[in-house]
Amino acid sequence: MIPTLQPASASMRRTLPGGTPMRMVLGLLLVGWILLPLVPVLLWSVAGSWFAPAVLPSSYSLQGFSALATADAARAAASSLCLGAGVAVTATPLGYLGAIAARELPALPGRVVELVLLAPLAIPPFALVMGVNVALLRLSTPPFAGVVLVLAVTALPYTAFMFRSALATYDHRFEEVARSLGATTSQTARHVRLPLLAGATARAFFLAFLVGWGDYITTLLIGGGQLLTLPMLLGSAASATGNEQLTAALSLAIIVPPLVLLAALTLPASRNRRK
Amino acid sequence: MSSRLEFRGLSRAFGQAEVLHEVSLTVEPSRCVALLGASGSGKSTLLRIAAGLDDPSSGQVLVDGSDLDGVPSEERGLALVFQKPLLFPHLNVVDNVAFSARMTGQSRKAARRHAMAYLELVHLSDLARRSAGCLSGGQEQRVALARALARNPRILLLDEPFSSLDSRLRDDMYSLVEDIRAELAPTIVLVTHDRREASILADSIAVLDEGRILQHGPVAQLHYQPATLAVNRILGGLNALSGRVTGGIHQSVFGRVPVQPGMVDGPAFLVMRQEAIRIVVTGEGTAVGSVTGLKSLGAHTLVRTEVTGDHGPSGTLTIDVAGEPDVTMGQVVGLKPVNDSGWAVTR
Amino acid sequence: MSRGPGSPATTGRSVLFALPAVLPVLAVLGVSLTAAVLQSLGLMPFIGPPDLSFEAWTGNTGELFRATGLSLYIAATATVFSVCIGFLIAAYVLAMPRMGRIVAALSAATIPIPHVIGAGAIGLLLSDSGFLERLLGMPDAFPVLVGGPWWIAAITEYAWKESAFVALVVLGSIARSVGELCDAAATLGATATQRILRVVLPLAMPSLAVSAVIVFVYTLGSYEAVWLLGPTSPEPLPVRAVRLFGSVDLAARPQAMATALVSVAVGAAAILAGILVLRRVRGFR
Repeated sequence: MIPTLQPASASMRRTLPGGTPMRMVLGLLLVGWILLPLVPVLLWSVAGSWFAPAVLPSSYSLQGFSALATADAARAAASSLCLGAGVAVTATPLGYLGAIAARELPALPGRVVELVLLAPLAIPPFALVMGVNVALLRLSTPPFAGVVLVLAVTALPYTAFMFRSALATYDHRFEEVARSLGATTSQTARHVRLPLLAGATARAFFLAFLVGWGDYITTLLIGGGQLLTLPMLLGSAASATGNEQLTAALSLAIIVPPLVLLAALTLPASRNRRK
Repeated sequence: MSSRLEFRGLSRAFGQAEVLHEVSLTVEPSRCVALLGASGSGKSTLLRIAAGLDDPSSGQVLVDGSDLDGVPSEERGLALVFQKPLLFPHLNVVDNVAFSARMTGQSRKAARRHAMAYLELVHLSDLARRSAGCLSGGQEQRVALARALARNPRILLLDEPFSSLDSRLRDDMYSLVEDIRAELAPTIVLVTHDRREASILADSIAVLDEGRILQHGPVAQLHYQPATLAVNRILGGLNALSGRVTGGIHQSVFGRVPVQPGMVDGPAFLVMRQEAIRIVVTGEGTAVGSVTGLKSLGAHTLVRTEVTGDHGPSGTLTIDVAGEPDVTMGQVVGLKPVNDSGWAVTR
Repeated sequence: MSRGPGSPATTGRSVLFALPAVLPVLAVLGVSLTAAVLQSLGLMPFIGPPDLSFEAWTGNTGELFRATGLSLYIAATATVFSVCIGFLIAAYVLAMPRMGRIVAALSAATIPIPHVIGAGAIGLLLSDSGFLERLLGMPDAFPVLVGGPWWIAAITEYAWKESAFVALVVLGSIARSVGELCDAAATLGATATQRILRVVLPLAMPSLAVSAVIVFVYTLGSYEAVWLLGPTSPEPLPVRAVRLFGSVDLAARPQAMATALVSVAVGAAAILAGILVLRRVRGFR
């Protein structure tokens, strides 16, 4: 996810106006901007009692996390996981097929395919769901399948874009070289295209997973309260007052797994790059 | 507008690796010096330091005698043409050339007028309105050159600007640089790995190897009077015969050849360029060799001979012959130096 | 594949490839928009016979306009902040070798955080006697940020999440070339400020424009932050639509659909405007 950074060149370094103190201040401001909203989440998740105007909790406890150890929360976590996986498993291969088609079709139909794949970005998710809900009800689609279908369509622009940009820099001649070295079509696909597109596949899968894992509004409107996921629990906790510990603990339960996955995906790659 | 550029004891290390070691070099105003070296010899780093894009670990860069330490790039008044054209993709051709004038606060109109003069100099005024992305490689590099010159630089630094062009375009660029020198007479430092390019463009060549300057001198001197075997090799010399100098005479299988005055007696190599030896009838030459190889270079042929004699161990001599030589493999031929005296080096 | 694009055999297979991706999108979008239009006109009622009526569109236009204006205000403000802060992050990352790497990693790490969580976090930070007010020592003059009249908490949430997105897009598009071009600009006499304004900014312009359109359309149609962090009234488009949609009064359905369709239309208009601006930007390159 993190773009390849060239080592900052000397004149780029001097490109930030102001001297070293100014740059230090800017750096701290940016780090503060990024991290500050997460500090109260971390503190509240381990706070026992924390009354204003105290800057830090007066006592610490794990009550927020222990409130998570319920059957409901476990079920919600399982549904979130299934939803993320379902959306990713659907949207990743479809995004790949769409990207390949957009690349190989002649200019005009290729452009049309591209536009169709990007179209869900233009429709607000709540509007998409409201309209389609009637049809899903009439066809008596189970809520889970309906949510996966709508979210997979929402995630398609991201997965297709990931493959599209990977294919744009993917040099077709690698496959021609492989063929000229005696590889069959399937060998070429397995030993050349697959490894070269592995990174894009991982990124696409990750993004699509996130769409399902973190969704709130689609689950709310289609599930109609029947489909309980972690974000649904969070939504009800955050909209009521006095639930800070639970809100914070739930937030961490939703944020941490994808971050661990992201780190696992990016760290080995950037380490290799540095070598 | 031309200035004198001087590097004084310049070193640059990246971590443990030292890319430049105590480099000292002076470029007189309006002269063109080529820094010749293989890739990784530190020559581009030297230019980046001169331009203020990199800082030396120690040593100084002086322009007209004043130290540039701490002077930022944009105030140095040196222009650098990079290996890649690096035209700004958001500007068209004329605005790229007008960039430096705009930076000094001139109006768009005045900057463009100024830029047009330089586009004419590189024969590209027709393409002024074209987008920077729609040019051929040669055109891009011309625009880059015009853009650098439009800055009225005190010194022009060229970092292998022609290396990605094909040989015909490169020859066009050489004559363009000559026009520019005739018209504007800037001081030029050219970095290249191509000894032909260095010889064509520069007044003098500085040979850089592993971060050190091995020799700096006029083009002919570098070719015919190299300081070391390494310089001879870098400038394409193929012949170095081991032997001994006694009383100003080098003795080897090639016979007795008077060498430069001042050579101390002792073991030494006779350096003789392949272009400076002739094939003659046996008996007329100073040595005799048998042909062991023929290699065509197109209009020229390299003839490899094995030379044996009484005065030392046998050695290989290569002779550059114009056209098709009238010799066959295994034939015994006479060899004769073009000049009566030779050049010896000890290492 | 090896026959290259354009040959008839490849085209045939590509159409086959395109179908599984294109059909679900067209089906969901088509069904959704058609059903929304029909429902907004009373032609697809939940119970009872269809009955054409423009009541949902004409009945309460004042409220619909207010909701649209409010949504435009929130989306526009959030977009401006996201783009400015995102560019600042990108410029800092490119300029500073070590600290920039840290900022880049932190910024990218916020991308997977869902908006509902971002909204919860901003709530804990900015609410009345929230973390920020406590940090500042509970000043009397601390403004009402959550649920206040200017929607500051909701806008902050969008700016926080989307600035990281803008930075990522900008970095992805210029990181490769910008260092060398800044070197070239420096040797041509451009000062630090000039390099930012005359080289880095124009280079980033296309990606800034694209990400601005995406952020605008996204924030326009996003529900979580405005619902959690905004006042109960007036309502922006998504909140109004979802409230009406969930209302026990089935007559509210057509109004919900009309509200949803208005946000679709505003989003489409924003995209069209964005494409026109982008054409301009690309044209002058």
